[in-house]
Amino acid sequence: MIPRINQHKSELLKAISNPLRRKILQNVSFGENSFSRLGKTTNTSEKIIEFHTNRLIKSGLLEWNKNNDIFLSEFGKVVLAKISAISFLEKNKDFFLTHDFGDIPADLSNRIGDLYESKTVYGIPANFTTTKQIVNSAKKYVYCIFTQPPVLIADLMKQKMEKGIKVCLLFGKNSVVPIESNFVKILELATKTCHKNLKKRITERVGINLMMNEKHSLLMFQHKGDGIDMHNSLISSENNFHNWCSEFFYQKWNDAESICRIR
Amino acid sequence: MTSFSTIDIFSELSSPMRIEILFCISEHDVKLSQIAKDLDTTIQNLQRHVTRLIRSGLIEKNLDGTMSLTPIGKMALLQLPAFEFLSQHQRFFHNHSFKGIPEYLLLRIGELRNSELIENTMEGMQKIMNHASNTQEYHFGITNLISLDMLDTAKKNLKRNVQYKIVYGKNTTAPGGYNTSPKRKFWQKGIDTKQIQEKFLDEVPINMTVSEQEAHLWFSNKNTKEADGKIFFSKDPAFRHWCLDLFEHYWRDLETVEPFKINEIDTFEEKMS
Repeated sequence: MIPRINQHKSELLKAISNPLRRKILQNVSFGENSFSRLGKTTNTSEKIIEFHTNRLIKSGLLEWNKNNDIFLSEFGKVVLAKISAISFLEKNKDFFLTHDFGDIPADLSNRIGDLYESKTVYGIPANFTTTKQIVNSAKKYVYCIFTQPPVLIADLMKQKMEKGIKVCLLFGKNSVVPIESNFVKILELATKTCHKNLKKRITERVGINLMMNEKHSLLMFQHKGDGIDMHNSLISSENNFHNWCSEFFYQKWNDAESICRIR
Repeated sequence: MTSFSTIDIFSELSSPMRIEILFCISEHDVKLSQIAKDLDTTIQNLQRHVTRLIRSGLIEKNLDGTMSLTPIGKMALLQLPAFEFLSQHQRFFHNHSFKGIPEYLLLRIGELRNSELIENTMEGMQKIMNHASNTQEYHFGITNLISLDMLDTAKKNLKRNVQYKIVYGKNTTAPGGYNTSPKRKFWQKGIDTKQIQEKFLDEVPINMTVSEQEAHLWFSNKNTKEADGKIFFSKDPAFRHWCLDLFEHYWRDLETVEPFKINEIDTFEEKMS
């Protein structure tokens, strides 16, 4: 259930509903501290900038310092961070109209803005290359949640495991893992033996494909009402994105059970 | 992008009526006529808003004529409690600092919305004492202000097997005589038996205590850089969960320093003797 909010408090939402005001907040956070600079970078007159800036000051989002520079207040910084959550949804609207967010828990939904700094990768070939790159560039670990594993990277994963990279694979009871495939054979997923650098766990349900190493992360979402979409992914090397993915992985991993073999 | 580029999620969320409609639909898939009844308005009034909401991708019409939230609509609504909390306490946060709260918890600040801000210091102190006395299982705290009363309550709690974990900073202060007080003997015993665990950090910019029942949180005043007795209290599970995560951050993620003696500040009593 989504918690209802008190309507009287929509003044803040009104303040940020104007796109120019959002741009001003963002540009101020990048260091543009004067009406003249803001006017130039937003291509608007200083008078209009002044009008909107005063509105933002009234809402407590911006403030003046003693040198007459405009700054984000601490309050403004937190609001700007929350704005990125909605900007993320807006930016990827077309994509999420046909896809599901899967099984993201509430606390990570509140942090969905962390995923803003990311690129979308289109097409099966490009996505295949990207999954290979994540395994290839791993120096410490590769963590994966698979609704459907990218079966062709099994060899690469095995090689990395032999080199000491720790690989953790998390499946759901709903995951589709072709038992006869090379993936299962090469990684010995159907046997009791287990490579010392490979950990396998299973959880009730998985709804998102995740692949990450210590630097890069990749997310794949489900088609609405269907299976995982391997044509499209979100990738990023940015810190907040990485932290979000780590947190998501650990929450699912810690809730799961160790398995000896996939059936 | 469609030609309706001025209709974006932000503009949709700035209308109280549209937010009401979204919440109505979030509870169950409904027909327009039902929404009109629930919101005590006409279908005509709703039509304009509903069209906008569909165009912006927040809701969709199903084959059976009902409306439901799209995944984006659900995600967008989930961000609203944060804006509500920030908006409600705008004046408070004009004077107080978020320092000491990691960014990922600031993004989740909406989880604090079911809480009460007590601005009267004495009332707040009394509530803190009551909170401490009611604890049955655990008392986890991040503190830069210690009171001697805390020791009295702790003594009773330790007999009931309450587990204590406390984080201090070099900026933490206690009343004069704290370190040598005879009341500290049982506290030391608790440390020896591991019923009390302490961690020492460089700085602790906020105060927070969480137990299995309730939690309270106080932010520093921007000007004095110290806690000023305006405190958020709550028994709400989401609030407690947020506080537990904040505690985890201090307990698990931050670098500890060599244990130090807590700074004592002169009290009137000390000055008298």
